[in-house]
Amino acid sequence: MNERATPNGNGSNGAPLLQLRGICRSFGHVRAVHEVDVDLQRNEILGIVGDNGAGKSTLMKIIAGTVSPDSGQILMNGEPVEITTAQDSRRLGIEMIYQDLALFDNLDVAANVFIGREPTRGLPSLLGFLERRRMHREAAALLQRLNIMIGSTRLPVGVLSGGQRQMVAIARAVAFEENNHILLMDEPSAALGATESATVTELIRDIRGDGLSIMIISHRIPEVLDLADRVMVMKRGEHVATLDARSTSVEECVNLIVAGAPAATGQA
Amino acid sequence: MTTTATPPGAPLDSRAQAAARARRLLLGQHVLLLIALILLGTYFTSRLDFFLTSQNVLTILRFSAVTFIVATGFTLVLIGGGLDLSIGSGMAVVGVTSGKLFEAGVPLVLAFVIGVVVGVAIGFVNGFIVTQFRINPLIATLAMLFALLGVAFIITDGRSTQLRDDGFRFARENVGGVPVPVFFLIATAVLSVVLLHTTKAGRHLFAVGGNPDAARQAAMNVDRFRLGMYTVAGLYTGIAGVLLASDLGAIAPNSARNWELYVATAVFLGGASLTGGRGSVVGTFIGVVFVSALDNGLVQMAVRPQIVLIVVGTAMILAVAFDQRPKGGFR
Amino acid sequence: MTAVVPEDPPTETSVWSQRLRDLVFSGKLTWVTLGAVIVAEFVVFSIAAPRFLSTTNLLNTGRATAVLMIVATGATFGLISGALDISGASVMALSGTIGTQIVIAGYPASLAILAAIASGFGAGLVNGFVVVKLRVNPLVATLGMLGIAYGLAFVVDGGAGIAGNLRQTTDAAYGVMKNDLVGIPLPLVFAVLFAAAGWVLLAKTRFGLYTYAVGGNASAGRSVALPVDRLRMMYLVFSGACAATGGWVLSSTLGGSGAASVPGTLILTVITAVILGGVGLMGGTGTMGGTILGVIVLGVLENGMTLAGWPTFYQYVVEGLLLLLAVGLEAVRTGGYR
Ligand SMILES: Nc1ncnc2c1ncn2[C@@H]1O[C@H](COP(=O)(O)OP(=O)(O)OP(=O)(O)O)[C@@H](O)[C@H]1O
Ligand SMILES: [Mg+2]
Repeated sequence: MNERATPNGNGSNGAPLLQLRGICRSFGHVRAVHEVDVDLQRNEILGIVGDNGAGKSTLMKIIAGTVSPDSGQILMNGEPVEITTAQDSRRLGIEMIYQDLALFDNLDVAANVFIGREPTRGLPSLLGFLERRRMHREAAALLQRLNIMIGSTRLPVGVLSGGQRQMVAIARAVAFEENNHILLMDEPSAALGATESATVTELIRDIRGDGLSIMIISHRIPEVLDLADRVMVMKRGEHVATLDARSTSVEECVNLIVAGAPAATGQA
Repeated sequence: MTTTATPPGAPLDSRAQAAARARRLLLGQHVLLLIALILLGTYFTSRLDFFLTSQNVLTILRFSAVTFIVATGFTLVLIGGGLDLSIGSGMAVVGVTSGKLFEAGVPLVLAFVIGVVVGVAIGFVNGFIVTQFRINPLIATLAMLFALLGVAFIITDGRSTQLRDDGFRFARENVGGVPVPVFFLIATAVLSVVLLHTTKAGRHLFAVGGNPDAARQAAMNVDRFRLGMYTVAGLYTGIAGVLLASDLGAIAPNSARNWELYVATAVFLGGASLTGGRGSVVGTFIGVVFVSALDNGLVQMAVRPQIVLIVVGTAMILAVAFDQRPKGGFR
Repeated sequence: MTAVVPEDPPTETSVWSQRLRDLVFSGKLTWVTLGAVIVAEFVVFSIAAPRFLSTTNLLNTGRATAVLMIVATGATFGLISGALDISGASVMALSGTIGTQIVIAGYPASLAILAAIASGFGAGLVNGFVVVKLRVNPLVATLGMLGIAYGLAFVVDGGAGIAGNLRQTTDAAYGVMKNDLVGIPLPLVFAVLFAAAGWVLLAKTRFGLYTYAVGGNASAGRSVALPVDRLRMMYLVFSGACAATGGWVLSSTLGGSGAASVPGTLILTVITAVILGGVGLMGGTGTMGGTILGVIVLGVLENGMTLAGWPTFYQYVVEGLLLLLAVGLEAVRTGGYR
């Protein structure tokens, strides 16, 4: 396993970092995602907005490999890739913060941050001895760097407050940023107070500078418009429009989300 | 199976509704199990001349009775989102109690009634522990399994004895050519169908088991339902315990060992689920007959009873696997 | 709700409530309780039965409890990972029977032991397949295996075990567990090594950490790219292998065994020990230390009650009550079953 992949890999051919083509996914009679195309450029922040149940999370989970699409294609650097499990996406340098956070309440903060990538010694792989002390040291350093206030990395995540849990999930996603190309964030600041929310915004700006592309789902439209380069609007599983964040007003964006058709807004 | 989607809120013709309900009640999810039962019957009939004789069918039903009665209690508990591992030990306590009483000169009917009352008490204790001490039913009834097994052994001082007086063996009698246990089977089935499908409490039980939190929000007293269902299951344990003791004509504390596997197989075959809210009396009945027929046929084909264990275990796993397929199963 | 932690040092009360929380969450409360129960057992039994405290008797207790310890080690991993494996006793029966029959057939003991333990791997693999591929609840899957392995044991036994009569071998290598090592019964030595290895594996390695992760939140495990299905399979195989090892140790101690040599209630004792030790039914919690204490509680109980002249079946009642007590404690900790 190579510990340090180069962020832009073989991406010299000019194709977008990530392309989704004709992605569909239904749950029974519900068309969660229908014929959706997305392009994500290098170093770009792409916002995704839409009503509850519009299919935003499902789309992200398809990229992260935890939901499999019924049809459609995923390309990275112009090359088709096969993402059927979360292992696949991790190998491709894709990291996701889940809406339900995907934390282990029974494990402590350090274990949650490192889960799946624990430093070990001695025997290889599963039988390796955990370097617990190092995990705690590095997790504490990470929390400090991200300005996260949590008493101890030895606390089980189950006792943390909603906001602290959210911050742990964020810390886990960015802990190994040197390996990552794409960060998927599903409402990362949903449970956060004003201060923490600002910290997350700051953090996102920061890591984008490190050569990371970010997709972010949020219901806070002004924030998304402020943070993202482009904003994609979804409704009932379909891609409605993709807007340039700088030239779009909050009202236009909200209109699109509600009406679900570009024509209704009279957009030029 | 065809289901035409009815627009929600559209009033259904009540006769069509009743017919649909009856069909769902009787067949519905059990079509596959019925087909399997028919295939099994056909196979055994082709190998054994006497398999389908009325004599043998009655034998199968006689053996089905005790299993069916406890299995119905087990089904009720599963529907309500619970679990009861103590049925075997419960039956043992009931059996040795009524056997001892009869031996001591208590009239048969009274010995029977007291046995059943003991069963009800056991069920009540199960329900009480689960609802009042908030102990997971798996553990609560596992502990009861131990405790009751101990009690059965203490009552008998650890010995199995044959009853000298044949008067206790009413389960071996026939009335009008039909074995006595079959009447109990029919009575239990009717009582359970009525309880489960016609009373409000019965129908609410499905909601309680399927989603206890939602049931609480709908102002149902979930604990009362659970206490009730364990008590009814205890009633069935009581009846089955006396019947088994009577069938064996013995006071045997370890008579109901391994019973759980057969009961669980029958119940899961019949469509009940560990996750609560699902199950039916008819399904359990077909499941029990299936297991009994399997047992009867295999043993008569001179297959050793231990191999039946293998077949039953496999059947149960496959039944549950098949049943859970569309719902995604254990994740 | 904001997540701001005050800058100033925490007050006295919050330190104490935090410590209490830590104590409860770390499961140390269980350890203290179990320690107290063991002390109480020693006091009661040494009064009730003077012979109880003799070295010979304590070593005998160890010998008799060794099998329970080995099987409980596997069950601990299974249950923490969220799979209650109830096929243990029949897998033990199968393992012992296979080993015995192979020796009787004239093959070397080493082969017999290997085959015996391999049978547990096989049973675990099948359990794992059923749980992971057919998506059957582990309780149901292992209940099925309970019947299958028990039936297979009888088949291998040729039906000889039905009446409970054991198959005896005179093979010294197969019956090695009858011996002592510097005065200590070999099964006890073996069990201590097993428990220690289990402890290290659970507390110190990735394999152990993932047991908690899979049992605590399997769907989160999938989200963070843990091979959840493969892990679940491994824990069930481990559990089966431990049961088979226990089965062989028992068989070896008896100098050969048949299908009926393992009482079916043994698995209930195993589960009781594990749950007494603080392993939660829902998975994700528990420690090997707790399981070891749980095993000691039950082992001493059995020996003490027998010495004190109480019939075996009283043990069932006490065991049931202990189990209720232990789970009552867990219910207090977690808010209980709703
Ligand atoms: N595992 C699933 N099983 C069944 N239906 C699902 C599943 N996951 C999503 N859905 C359905 O798919 C649709 C889209 O869900 P999704 O979670 O993608 O919405 P969302 O845009 O993220 O909404 P929100 O803003 O509320 O998070 C919804 O109707 C939802 O009910
Ligand atoms: Mg969402």
